[in-house]
Amino acid sequence: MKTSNIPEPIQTPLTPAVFQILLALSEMEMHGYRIMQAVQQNSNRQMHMGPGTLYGSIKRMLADGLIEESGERPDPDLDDERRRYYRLTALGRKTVKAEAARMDALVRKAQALHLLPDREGDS
Amino acid sequence: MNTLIPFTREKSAVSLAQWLVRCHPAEFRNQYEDELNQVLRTLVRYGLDDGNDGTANYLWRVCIPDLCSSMIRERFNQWEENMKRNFGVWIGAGLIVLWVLYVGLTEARIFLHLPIKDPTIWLLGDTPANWAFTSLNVFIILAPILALILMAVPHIQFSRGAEEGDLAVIRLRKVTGASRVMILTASLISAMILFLLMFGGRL
Repeated sequence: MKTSNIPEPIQTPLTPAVFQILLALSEMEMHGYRIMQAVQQNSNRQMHMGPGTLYGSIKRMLADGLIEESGERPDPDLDDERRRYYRLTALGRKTVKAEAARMDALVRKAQALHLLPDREGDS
Repeated sequence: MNTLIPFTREKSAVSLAQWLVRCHPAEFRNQYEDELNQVLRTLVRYGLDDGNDGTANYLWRVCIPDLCSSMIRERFNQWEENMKRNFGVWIGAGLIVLWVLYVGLTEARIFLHLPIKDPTIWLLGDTPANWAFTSLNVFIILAPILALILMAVPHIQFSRGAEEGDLAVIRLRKVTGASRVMILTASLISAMILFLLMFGGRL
C-alpha cells in the first residue's frame, strides 16, 4: 500500500493573506510583485496586499514549509532584474485544498439558509 | 505642471517606504530588504494592475500603512522569539536582581544602621521555622550560581559530531565573542563563590 509522506495540513482557518498567497501560487510559481498583482485580481480588487504583509507572510510560510523558493531569474514581461520566485510545496497544496473545502462547506451552509443564491450546477 | 505632482508624491512615498523597510528588524531586512525595494521600484515603474495611474495613491494608501504595521509586527515577533530563546537569561537576571536586593538591604541594615526592616522578616515573618531559614540560606548561597548557569547555558553550543560518536559534546572553541566571555565569567564567578563557601572560614 502506498503511503503519503506529506505531513498533515497546518491548522485552518488560515489568515486571509496566507490563503490568498497560497491561492495565487497554486496557479504557477511567482515572485513577490506578481503575487501582489494576483491577490488584487483574485479578490476583484477588494484586497490590497502591501509589501510588508506579503514578505512577512512569505517568511512564516517558508518556515512552516507551505512554500519554497524556486530560484532567481528575470521576469520576461518586466525589466531584466533577477527576481526570487516562490512555489507551493505538497504541504502547501494540501493546506490550501483543506482551507478551500472549509470555505466551500461554509458557503453551502449559507446557501441552505438562503443567505446566498444557489450556484449553477448545484443540485 | 500637474504631471510633476504625482512624480513628487511617488518619490516621497518611495523614500518613506524605503526608510520604513530599514526600520524592520535586522534578520527580516537581511532576508527581504532587496526584494521589498525591488517590489517598490516595480510598483513605481509598472503600477499594480492598471498601469501607472494611481501608483502614488496606492503607495500612500496601502504600502506606507502596511509597512508601518508590518514593522511593528516583525519587531514584536523578533522580541517574542528573543524572549523564548533567552528565557533562562531573563530568569537568571531576575535572580541576580533579587539576590542583590536581598543582600544589599541586609548589609545596609546591619552595617549602615539604616532604619529599614530586615528583609528576612519580610519574607518569612517574625517567627520563622528552621526549615524556612535553612531554605533561605541555601537560596542566598545558590541563587547567584544558579543565575549564572541559567545565563550561560544558552550560549553553550551542543553538537553531535561523527568523530565524537553519538555523545553530545560542548564545543567551546566554536563559541566566540560575547558568548565566550559570558560563559567564562559565569564559570569564574561560580568557582569563586564555591571556593569562598568551602574555604572562606579557614582563611
